Amino acid sequence: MAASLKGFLYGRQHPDEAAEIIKKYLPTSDLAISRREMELSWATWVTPNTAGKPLG
Amino acid sequence: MPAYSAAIHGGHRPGQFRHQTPKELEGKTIGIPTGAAQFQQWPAFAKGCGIDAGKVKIVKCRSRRGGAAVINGQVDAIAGFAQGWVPSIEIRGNKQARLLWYADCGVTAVSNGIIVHPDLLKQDPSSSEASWPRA
Repeated sequence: MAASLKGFLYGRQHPDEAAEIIKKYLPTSDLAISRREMELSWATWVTPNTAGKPLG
Repeated sequence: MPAYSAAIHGGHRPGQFRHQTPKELEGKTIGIPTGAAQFQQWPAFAKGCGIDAGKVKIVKCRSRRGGAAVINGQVDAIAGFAQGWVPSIEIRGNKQARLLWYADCGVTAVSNGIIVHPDLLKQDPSSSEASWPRA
């Protein structure tokens, strides 16, 4: 789980690299769509109820 | 923790959304996969937003076809996970999506979380929430 969280945070810091990694393992994926999916996820990582608390 | 569900509209051009508030869904057609959480939560969303659910037509929507239904104009909106449908509507459909969050209307369903067994906490204190990274 610690490795997953580390990956989530690294991916947010390096979104283009993250999209490329997704495409490497899922060649039919679209770089722009992968990046937009991640953007929408980041926008909802923290909610009013979870602000200031650890991820997970 | 609110789930990241949303009712999603497709607009033809930026800033040209006819529906700006959930109440404006009245008189419209919304596609929702019947097996999806958003289908079960729809009555709570409608009640929380003050929508007269009787004035909204809900149609069954295949889970993989929701984005196409909005793009093609078969439905006025869809309900689902924003991350799953919005990118294809925006990028493949060349439309902007207007999000109406379920959480904004009081549907604060549980999303994902991590549960740690007390024995693990004793064995490995680093598994406690205090050690998890912040967003």
